[in-house]
Amino acid sequence: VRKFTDDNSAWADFLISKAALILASIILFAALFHLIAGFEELEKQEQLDFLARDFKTAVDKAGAGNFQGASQGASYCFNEKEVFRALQFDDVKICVSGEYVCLKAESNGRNFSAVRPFAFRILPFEDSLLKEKLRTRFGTDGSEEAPIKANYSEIEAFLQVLGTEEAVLDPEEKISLKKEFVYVKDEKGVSTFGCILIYQ
Amino acid sequence: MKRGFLLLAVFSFISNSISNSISNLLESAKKSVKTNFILMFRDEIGVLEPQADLLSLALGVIGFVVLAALMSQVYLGYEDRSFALENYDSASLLAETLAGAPALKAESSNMLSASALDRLSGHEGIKEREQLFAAFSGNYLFLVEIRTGDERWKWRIEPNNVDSGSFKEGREKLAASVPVVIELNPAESVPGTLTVVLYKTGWN
Repeated sequence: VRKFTDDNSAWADFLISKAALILASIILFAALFHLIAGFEELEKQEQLDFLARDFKTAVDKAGAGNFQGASQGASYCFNEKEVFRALQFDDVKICVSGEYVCLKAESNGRNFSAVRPFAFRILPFEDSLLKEKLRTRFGTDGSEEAPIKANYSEIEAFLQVLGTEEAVLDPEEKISLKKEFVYVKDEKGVSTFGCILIYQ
Repeated sequence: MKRGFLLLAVFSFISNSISNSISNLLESAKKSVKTNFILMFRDEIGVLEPQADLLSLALGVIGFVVLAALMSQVYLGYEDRSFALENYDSASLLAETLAGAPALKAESSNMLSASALDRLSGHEGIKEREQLFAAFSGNYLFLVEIRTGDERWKWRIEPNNVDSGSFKEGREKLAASVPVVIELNPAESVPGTLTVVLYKTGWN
């Protein structure tokens, strides 16, 4: 013990300070790498967000404009977008409902998703199915020749229920965006409102 | 005359001694600085040497923390403004669409009708409001404000099925306006604006 206490070469100081230094360096580098990995995840999320926003804007643009008249059509294809082709995911699932568009993907065991709501009334199926469902519920298909005789609130509630089911879209194929008008007849006359149909 | 010579001699003696002492002082200061510099470079005692790596690591950690703090600040700033950045286009699209709504227009012209606006913003316009907002999904919580350019007339149209507290003043919101022409009566039309005020909800 005496020999140990009389030793002035400070080898213990040296070893402890170097060990602390190595430990601190490891922690610092781990934090740096974690930050960089976080940026990669953020970029992936940003890509999905961009695509969801772009699709939402395309749908909203299809819904904007006239309140009555002939039905209008537009189309959208995810595969035509450069951002979609540059995505760092193996598989992207695209779901659409009457309320929102949702893009889901997985990378390195982590799930990513981007959801954007639509501004206009959306239904995730084609016009023939809409007419059939309206005919089943209200007796007429809501066309200009055969307007629906019901309250707006009743029709809106029915369409809202119809829109709750999610439709899965194929990103390789074109998606049709069609604005269809539903005609409603009341004591004041015939009025109309538009719905955007999203289907493949 | 003798006294004058004596004074001159005393004065010259004093000035000479002052200038000598100043130059000596400067010389010694110069020498000491020079010696200190030389000493600093030749000093092998190593006061800071064993802790130099610790100091550099501390500087590295401080730099990293500052960088992380700056980046989080930038991200938080973007998050704060993301509602306005993301939804302005939607608000603008809604305003453009609503400016063309037949329910707001006069029958005879393509202008907004003051009487239609009176009806839509009043209690009796429940059915008209229902028809006007039927084309929009309930995801976006918005109201429509129409005002004349001189601020004399102002109408506020809110959807029917919305809680009264939804349009509180403190809530985060954004607005987009389009210019319109309002027909006050068949003889008078004035310019104005149609504004869509979009409120933040759980969706956006």
